[in-house]
Amino acid sequence: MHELALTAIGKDRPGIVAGVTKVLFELGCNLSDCSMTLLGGQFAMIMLIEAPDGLSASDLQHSLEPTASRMALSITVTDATDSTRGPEHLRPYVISLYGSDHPGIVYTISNELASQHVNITDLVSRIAGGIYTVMLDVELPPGLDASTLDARLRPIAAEMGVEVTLRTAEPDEL
Amino acid sequence: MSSSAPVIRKVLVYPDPRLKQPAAHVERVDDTVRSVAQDLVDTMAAHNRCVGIAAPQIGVLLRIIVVDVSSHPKAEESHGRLVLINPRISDSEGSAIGREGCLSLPEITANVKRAERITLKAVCLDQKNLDVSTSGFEARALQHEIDHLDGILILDRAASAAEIFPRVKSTKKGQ
Repeated sequence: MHELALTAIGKDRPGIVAGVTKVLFELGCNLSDCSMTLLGGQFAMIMLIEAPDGLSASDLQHSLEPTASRMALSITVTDATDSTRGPEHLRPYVISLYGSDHPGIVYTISNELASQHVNITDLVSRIAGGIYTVMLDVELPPGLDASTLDARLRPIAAEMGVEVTLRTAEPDEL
Repeated sequence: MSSSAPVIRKVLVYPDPRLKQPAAHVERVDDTVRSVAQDLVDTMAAHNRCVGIAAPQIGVLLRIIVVDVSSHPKAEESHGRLVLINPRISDSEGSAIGREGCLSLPEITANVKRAERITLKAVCLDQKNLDVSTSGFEARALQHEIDHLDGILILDRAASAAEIFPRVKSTKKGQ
């Protein structure tokens, strides 16, 4: 087995997940991590697939073409070897940002995070009532204090007129 | 409470900066405080299904809240109308996720994690100290309003952006 990555997006309708996974199942693929969601009216899928040896990324892409065409999906398959992560993902934090919507909020914050070597592992944003909300799961590198990062993010957020909070994502102990 | 004509105050809507500021401790219950409390009661009553309001929402940065869940179907426990000055949660336990709306974020609802049971200490309009122990929806409403006194909105509490929902269908894409 080897690992492939599949991304697909298209206008939402019933049957997209079934249409794509039917092809995968019939070719002997096994799903690993997947993320699928509706963004506005577009349904987006991202998945890692364990594919049988002998089924290349381009073979799978080719096999999916009839489904892509029937469901008006844009599908891309690529090799995803070495997609397993090392054990070093420590110190998870959540950054939440919200404020009146305008272009550049995600860019400005992610640019600062990149300059501090903070890794983003998840980003979800929603627009509602003119208020743009972004939540980022991040990992702090060794040597960067949460309080230092917080002190750097606050003036940047204030400049953009958005609220920012940084909190630990350590799970509650039950 | 006085029986003069109700005063319906304008409810501030985010991004009004006053909603993000901490409110000041009330030093003594005077006519100003009694008048703000009455305006909160009247303003809350003017909004359908509203179970709580905090002074910063009408632009008064004092630690005063009003909560009344007695006529709400979700409320299992209710102390009737609570007009609380300097409320402070002294004990809490458990946690539950619930969908909350806010007059100051009129187009949004969000899933927010709150303590299930709380005990709070506050001062009443008659200047007496009051302890309230409650649970469920009333505890949730009290925590929401006390958050307003610290400039905390439901968007600060939502666990993820996927837990935030438009109250009316987005019109951004002409849907």
